[in-house]
Amino acid sequence: MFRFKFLAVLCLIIMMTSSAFAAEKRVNIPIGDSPVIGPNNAPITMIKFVDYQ
Amino acid sequence: MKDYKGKIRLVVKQTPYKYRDYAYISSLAVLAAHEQGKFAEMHELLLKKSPKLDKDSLISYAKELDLDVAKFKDSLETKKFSSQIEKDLQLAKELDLYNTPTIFINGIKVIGNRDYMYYKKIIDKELRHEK
Repeated sequence: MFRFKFLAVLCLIIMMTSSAFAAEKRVNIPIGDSPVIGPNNAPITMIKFVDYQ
Repeated sequence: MKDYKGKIRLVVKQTPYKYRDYAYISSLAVLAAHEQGKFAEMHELLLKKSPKLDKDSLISYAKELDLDVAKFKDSLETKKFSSQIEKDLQLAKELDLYNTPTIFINGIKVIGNRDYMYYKKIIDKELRHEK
């Protein structure tokens, strides 16, 4: 019983930390000479990959 | 996103899906408008008018935005900005992106169209961290 609880808690910890890491994963994407809307000093940069159709 | 005026810089990469008839020419068109200083206007217009994006429609949108139509048409016909599109497609490939739109908010990946609240939550969190 103790071993089962231990495993359950361990699984829970692994799940929580892995999702936390996933949320913090950031990708650095070069802006290059792509068109930009909005100020260059804005605190948020959104890089959008579009298909208009 | 108008609630965040001055807070957001939007960078647009062109990833037209190759099996859609007008996706590529639409990307050429928006970059042709960019050359004439009207990227934002054309970008918004194409999102609104989609999927009516055949060549004649695109030319009528250029007229609507007061672009130099001859120059615009020439840009489409010579595929003037195809290398820019290829570069963006290559970048998408390197990032393993197969869905549009894919948006990165300060580097955080969001795949597909989400509702406004979904984006708002991420943006508000980023703004809190920034302070």
